[in-house]
Amino acid sequence: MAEKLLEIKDLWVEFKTDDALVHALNGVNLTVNKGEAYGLVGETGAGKTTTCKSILQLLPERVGKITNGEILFEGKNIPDFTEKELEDFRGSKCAMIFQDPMTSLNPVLTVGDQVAEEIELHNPGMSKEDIDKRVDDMFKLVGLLPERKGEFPHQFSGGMKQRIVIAMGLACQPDLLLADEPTTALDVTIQLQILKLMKDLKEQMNTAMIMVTHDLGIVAKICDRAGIMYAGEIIEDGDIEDIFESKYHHPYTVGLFGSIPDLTVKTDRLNPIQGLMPDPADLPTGCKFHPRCPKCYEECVNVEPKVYQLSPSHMIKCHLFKDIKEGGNE
Amino acid sequence: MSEKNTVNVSAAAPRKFKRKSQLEMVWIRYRKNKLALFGLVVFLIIVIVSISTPLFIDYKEQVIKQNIMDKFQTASAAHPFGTDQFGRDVLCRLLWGARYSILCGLGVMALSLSVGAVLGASAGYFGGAYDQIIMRILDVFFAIPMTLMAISIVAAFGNSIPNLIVAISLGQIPKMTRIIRSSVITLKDQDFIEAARACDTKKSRIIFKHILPNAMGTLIVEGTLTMGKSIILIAGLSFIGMGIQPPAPEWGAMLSEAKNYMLNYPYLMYAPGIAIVLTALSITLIGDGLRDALDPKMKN
Repeated sequence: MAEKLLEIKDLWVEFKTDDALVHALNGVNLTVNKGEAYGLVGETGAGKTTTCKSILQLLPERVGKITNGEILFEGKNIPDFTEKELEDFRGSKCAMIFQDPMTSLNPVLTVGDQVAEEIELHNPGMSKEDIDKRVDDMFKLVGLLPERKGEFPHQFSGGMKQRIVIAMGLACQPDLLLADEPTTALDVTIQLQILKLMKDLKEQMNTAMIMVTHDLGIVAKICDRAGIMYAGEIIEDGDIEDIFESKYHHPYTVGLFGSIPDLTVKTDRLNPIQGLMPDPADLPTGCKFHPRCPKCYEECVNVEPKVYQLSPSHMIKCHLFKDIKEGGNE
Repeated sequence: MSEKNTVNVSAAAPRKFKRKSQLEMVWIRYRKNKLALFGLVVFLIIVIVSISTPLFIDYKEQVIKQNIMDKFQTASAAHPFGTDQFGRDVLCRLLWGARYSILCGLGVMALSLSVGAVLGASAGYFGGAYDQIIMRILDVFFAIPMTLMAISIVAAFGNSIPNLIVAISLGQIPKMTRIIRSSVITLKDQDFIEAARACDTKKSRIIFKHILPNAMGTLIVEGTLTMGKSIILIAGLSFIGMGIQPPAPEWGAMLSEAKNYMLNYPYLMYAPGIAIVLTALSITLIGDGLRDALDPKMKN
């Protein structure tokens, strides 16, 4: 069995603002094994980015707080890390690629300096020439000309900036890469290139990855396992085959797949899930999906569903599956 | 012509990027602004004059030595700007006076900029109680009119040049801190700062390497404006007798002395008056030009 790299156990995160207490994460459980790509899928506001930021301890000070749970990285709880351990962890063991390449590069530093800074910080004592060489290598790795490292971010196109951001993320060869919608800001052709690049890099460097996305197509393409997130919890989790092939699904997952237009069937309208994500400051009782669920019944309104393990790899959090329990995909 | 064409075609094969240093780029952009260039030239002349005057002007003999026989002479070959009520050469005094203005102006800029940058950047970045304490203390200083505060400090501690610099800086620091703090607050929530935190850059490094360079445009403009303003303020203080004292040829003090003879000998006021305006103006123009030139996002 693969070795566990990151394990999140029952993680609760709250944001305390002046007018409301926002429940961003409500008991997230997930595991990422070494060298594995985990896809995190869900609507806007489901808590995907919050999960990533919690891992890196980047929640906004004084506002965001982890109220319960553990984030174990190689068996050690990240929220208990000392300043020194955190230094060691961020960047060199775990790096993050941010959503928007347009704003995640510092406009007044050259791109080469920005990649070099990361290497310099985590390899103290490395000579200037070595750092320089490493930066060149990183640029080549992501398909950019090393000659351009002296230029500023505004001189690059969006896709190139995203490559630079990826180069920064990979510069210290982290064990875990958090990719927060790395392709959302790009068009589909560049998206394909970037995804291919990330997949190659993952295989070359054996980096584990959490891929945050809205797009099930991306998950199918590069992930080994995936979790569907809704209102701050993971409602379905499984191998890529479980998510895409199994006949048992959480009604929300069914809805997600239902809203993807089918090339072979002619339809006039898209088929979205009715309703909106619940307000995280005022979550519904029972199952958080019940106001939108087409299969909702009495129990859903009042009782929070348990997690049902359908197969060793596949789990669903929904009352509909309490009778099936362990039976595999039969 | 044909040569040019062939160069263009063959350049496509091995791509070479012409590399210009950062400073070169700044200069190329700065050069485009003619007014700023004018300011720079004037300012450089004033600086060179203020540094080199001791080489060719004798302070005791030419600047403060009274020579009653020569008083109130109009412009001549020997005295291009005439002489004042004690028969001293106005040009010599004017040239010597540049030292005071430049020295005090630079001193005030350096002091208020460095204190303002440290206070403003830390208050903006850390926020919370720390921010509140610093800003409320500075509000107290903000409430006192700048000139009044400078006068009272000089009155209490005496009017030496260091005292003057501190007195005027104290009036500038609150404003400087506020400006830096507000630009830090807008910058600190940007994604690239978050990215810097994600790869664990130290707080001081984030502030000084990632945030402040982004606020550099504002800093430079504020710094130079402050310098221009403080030159005028020093002249003003000297004019009312609270600054640098006669017989030292500070421009404000020269104006103050000249005002007694204004009706009969108005030319005595022109030289120091124009010198003050020209210095302050040139510095402001430089600040304006630098802000545009230093911004790498400005299109060439």
